[in-house]
Amino acid sequence: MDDFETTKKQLQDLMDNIDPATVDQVKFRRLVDAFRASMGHGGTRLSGGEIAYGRSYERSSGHEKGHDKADDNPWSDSWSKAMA
Amino acid sequence: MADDVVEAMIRKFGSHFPFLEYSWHGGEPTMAGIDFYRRALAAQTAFYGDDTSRYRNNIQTNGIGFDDEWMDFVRAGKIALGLSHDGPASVGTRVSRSGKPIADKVEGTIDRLIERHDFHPGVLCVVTRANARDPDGLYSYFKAQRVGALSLLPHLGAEPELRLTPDLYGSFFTRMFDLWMDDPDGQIERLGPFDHVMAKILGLPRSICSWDAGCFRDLLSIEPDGGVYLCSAFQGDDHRLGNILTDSVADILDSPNLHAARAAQEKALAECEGCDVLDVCSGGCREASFFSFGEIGRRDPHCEGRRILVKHVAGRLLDKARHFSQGEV
Repeated sequence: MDDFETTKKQLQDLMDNIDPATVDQVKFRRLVDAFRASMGHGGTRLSGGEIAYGRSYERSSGHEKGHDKADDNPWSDSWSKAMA
Repeated sequence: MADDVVEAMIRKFGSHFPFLEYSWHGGEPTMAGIDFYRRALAAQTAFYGDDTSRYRNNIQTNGIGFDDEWMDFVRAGKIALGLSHDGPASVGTRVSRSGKPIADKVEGTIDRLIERHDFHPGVLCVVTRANARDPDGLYSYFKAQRVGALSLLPHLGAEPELRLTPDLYGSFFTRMFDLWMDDPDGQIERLGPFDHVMAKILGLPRSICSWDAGCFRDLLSIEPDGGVYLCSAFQGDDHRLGNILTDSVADILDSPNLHAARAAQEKALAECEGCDVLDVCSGGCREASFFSFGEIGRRDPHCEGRRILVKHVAGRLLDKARHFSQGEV
């Protein structure tokens, strides 16, 4: 395993065992939360559809949960298959 | 763009693809007028009915003509809004037709959106040699502007004097990442491309074309005459896939130009074989290759800078993970 792969593996192992409630840095806490959600430990998944356009109306207007809900990933395999 | 082009685009692509994000950009998309977008949204409703899960809209504007009527319209239509803004007038490169900087006008729009509409807009900032010289100043500026999100896009256009050198790319982006990550204030909620880089390092699903090899797979560009292209950056007959008014989607996606572009992308990716950060970088941006070398299939000119950035981000995240897990692995 090369250095970068080792770094990623160490990082993912550590992230999986951090309690988001103990993280007092807002950006890192959000990342921990998203990572643990992807591992099935609850939390909020990131949406694959949030591209380069910043905070949308839904996010700024209190509808963040709906915008960020799990599996909200339009750039899915099905789209790619349709493009093929 | 004529109404028949909009209708054909929605009907043909909407029938083929399970999900579409309609990105209205330009030029300056507000120049088409609100009534154009009212008709476009009506055409979407006529096609999709009540199934709003199959599409989204976003609009990317310079903000100059974006008045309260526009804001009310995009809010009612649930259209994601982004402003194009490259920093203060002293370093910004966007100018009006008369050659005057437009930064002060965009600042006025941001103030109005926040004060009158309680909306902290996301900003797309094109990074050039001018505004990359002082990342601390640029970060402080956007924070003072109270933007809700920021996406940093390296200049890729035809003006070589504005392009970042590999060293400047690496130093600017790593510094911006540190400024954002270490800022205890959460005002700038997301800073691109770092949110995508972090997610990819962790194996989370994210997608931005320049970090996901998404061109020629996730993106099509439709011009006002109905011409379909690989990407808004690639124009001309060599990159034209067909016309939405006259061609079927199947024929467009079977275009020799699309096959050639994918082959060129494969050629570029072959140069990346053995690179340890390839799964995060995805081989770079084809637009960057095109504007720097005149062809799609060359290595991204920011290759080394991207590699530096990925390793820097991974290292910083590992340090934080060690700190908060209170132990070494």
